[in-house]
Amino acid sequence: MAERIDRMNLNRIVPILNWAAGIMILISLVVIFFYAPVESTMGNVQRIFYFHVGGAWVAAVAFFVALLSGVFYLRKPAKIWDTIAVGSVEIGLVFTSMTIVSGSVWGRPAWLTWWTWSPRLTSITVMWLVYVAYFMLRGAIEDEDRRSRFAAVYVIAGFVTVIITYLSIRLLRDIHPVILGEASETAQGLQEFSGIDSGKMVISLNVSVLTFTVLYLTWLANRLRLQRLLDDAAELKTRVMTRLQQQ
Amino acid sequence: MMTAMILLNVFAQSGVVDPNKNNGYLILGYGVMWAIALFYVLVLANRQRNIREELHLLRQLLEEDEDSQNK
Repeated sequence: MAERIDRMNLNRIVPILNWAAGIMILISLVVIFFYAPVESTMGNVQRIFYFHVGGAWVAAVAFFVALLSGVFYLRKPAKIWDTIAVGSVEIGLVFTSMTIVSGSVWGRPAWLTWWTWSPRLTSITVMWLVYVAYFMLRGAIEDEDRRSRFAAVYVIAGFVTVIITYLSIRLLRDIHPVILGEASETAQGLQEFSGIDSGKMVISLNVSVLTFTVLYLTWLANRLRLQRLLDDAAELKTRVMTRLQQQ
Repeated sequence: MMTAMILLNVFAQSGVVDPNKNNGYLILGYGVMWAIALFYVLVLANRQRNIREELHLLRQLLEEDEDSQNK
């Protein structure tokens, strides 16, 4: 599988994905602002939720892909798995940042505060910091094989924070509303809006999740192409250095 | 008079809010989210442009070296 991914013609795939992502973003904006109904308690500001949830979901998917890449790398070390893990963590961090910021902006009118250290907000901050530290770990190890191996183990262990973040509002008492699934009886916090109370809201949320998934794949393909260019440059640099040493 | 009574009736109902009351936050939320996304896209594009320039330079160096060796 690693060889198949490695041989993919990214120069053909990337422009197609770029266009697909652009079109999907436009469609999702139309759906969110013109198709989704006005939420009964919060009004229009609730529309933040579609991209907020979409971003959070795709961030979790990106970190899961990084975990899988880590597992595959440890089973059979191939550079492509390391590259996918780095790209996925990088993109996952972008989506997590978007989720945190949009949630904070939504929280201001909903909770009358930009930030509160509730279990969900604390756990997502810890998650964000754990994945930022992934790059610090990589930067601290010079040997390429050792760096990839350590990073693979770290990214597998780091996924625990994603699980904790997901479960936090379902197991602990939290101000953050539960959107998907049921909260436990002890976890009932302040529910600012009525949740997904119409089919149109479900469709809008699904369109937004699909858009963010396409955007993730687009960015990942771009990131893989960038890595190929970096590898080409490294190879050429070695050749230039060899020539210089010969002279 | 009738309109005023209807309006009073609407506003007297609990749970009825002005849906546009917090639109500023809606714009801010989407604005900041897409600013982060745009920043990442620009970073990726910039890294790609720099590496392409570096590749071009390296290839040029190698070609010049080969030419000088052939002469």
